[in-house]
Amino acid sequence: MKARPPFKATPPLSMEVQDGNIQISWPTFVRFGSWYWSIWQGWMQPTPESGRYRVEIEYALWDTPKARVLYPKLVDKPPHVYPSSGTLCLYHEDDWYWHGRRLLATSFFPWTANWLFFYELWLDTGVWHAPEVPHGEADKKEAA
Amino acid sequence: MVHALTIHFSQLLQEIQPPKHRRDKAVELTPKVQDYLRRHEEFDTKSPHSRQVGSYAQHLSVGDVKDVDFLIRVDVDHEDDDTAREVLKALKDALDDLPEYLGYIGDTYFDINRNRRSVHVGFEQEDFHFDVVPCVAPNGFEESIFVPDWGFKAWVPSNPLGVVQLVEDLEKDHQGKFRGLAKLLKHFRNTHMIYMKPKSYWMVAMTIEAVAGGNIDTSQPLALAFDELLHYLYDEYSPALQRAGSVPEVPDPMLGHDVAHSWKRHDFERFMDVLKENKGRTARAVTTDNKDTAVELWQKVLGPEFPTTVDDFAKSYASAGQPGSSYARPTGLIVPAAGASGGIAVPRTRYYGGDEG
Repeated sequence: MKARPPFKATPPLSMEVQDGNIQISWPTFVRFGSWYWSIWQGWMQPTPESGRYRVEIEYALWDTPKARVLYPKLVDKPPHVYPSSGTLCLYHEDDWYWHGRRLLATSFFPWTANWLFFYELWLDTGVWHAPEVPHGEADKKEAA
Repeated sequence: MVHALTIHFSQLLQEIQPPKHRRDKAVELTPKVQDYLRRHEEFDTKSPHSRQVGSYAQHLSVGDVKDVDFLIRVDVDHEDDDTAREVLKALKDALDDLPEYLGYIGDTYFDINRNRRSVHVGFEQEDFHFDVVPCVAPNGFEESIFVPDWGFKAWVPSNPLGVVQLVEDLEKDHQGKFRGLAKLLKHFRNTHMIYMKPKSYWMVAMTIEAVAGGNIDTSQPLALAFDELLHYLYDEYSPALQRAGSVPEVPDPMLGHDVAHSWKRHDFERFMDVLKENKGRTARAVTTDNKDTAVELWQKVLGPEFPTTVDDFAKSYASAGQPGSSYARPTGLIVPAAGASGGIAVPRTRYYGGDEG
């Protein structure tokens, strides 16, 4: 596992900085919230032939962001979604970790679009064609 | 769960494109033909001399399309109708030596029934031909121009570059769905009609009217949008079908005149029969929860080119979207390279979790 910086070692980027970058790169997204908590909602269409998805990214300072698909409803039990919250599983903590100096616009946003791209492929083929870490393997590794 | 079969449609659209060798050859030869005419001593052209138009320029070519169309700008008075036929004849004479100039064996001809506004150049060794359209462009190619019509013995207004730009704008405004819809409609026509086919340009004009008029929800998957398009066209043209002897008007996207004025009633009835039969199939295809049934219905609508499975295609399609090497456009579109439209690099990742999360 990669070393993490000390908790709250540096102040996180403000919501205004996050939002400014999101507005430049993801112009359909609109922000709701306050100085310490925000939701961005907008549209993503991963392929020319697919429909548009209404997507939400939620972020509270000092917490990990969460990405969800609001509309259209995802099919039952899609891969790489936490069933209880409907949050997309976009990375594995062995590979990457979130801290407040990172930008949502260059991490969670492109990953969400990319997740939708592979979701469309999965719908038609039943195969997840992107790199993945199944829970079972990670859990075994964790236990070891 | 309904099946939009998005990747099936992606594969179909790729497979119904004209063969790559033909597209490459057309791209290679077009500037040589334009250069030949620009340098011709007995046929005067005016700068800017030429532009490619038609389905290749619109990026809407489908199937066995062999016509590569382009405009050649001439310097005559378009208000003098006597010059219309003279220019067509002079262009034909000038193009007679073109096949030899390009190192081919071929011929030129002028078919007043089919190409009454252009000169056709064919090559024995190639499976495509050029349709060269002379034009008067008083304010350049981007504004309305005048092309000679052999039958009318006159110069008639046209705006083919305007259509090319309109197609580009609609494609951008509708997130890449416009070209998909127009190509599917052409392919649908080719699948069900051998004779009495409505012309390709009419198909484009119909799609433009439907999409630009806000009648199709292009935020849906392509399958659902195409189902809406067939229903829209049937409903739109039904009043004309009810009137004995009538045919509908299909407005030119730029100039508004009826581009389908030559549509015969019998041919129009046949088109409506095909629409009626297949809009029932598409309606079932986009609502059934059985994937195999949906595929079978789409194969009836769009022919055997509609794939039964997409497993192999999906692998190559997926390779273009891998995290760590792909880009996301501001609309969420995943592309293999940032390109001129820009995009955010998708960082490398491994998506986490199986069925449990």
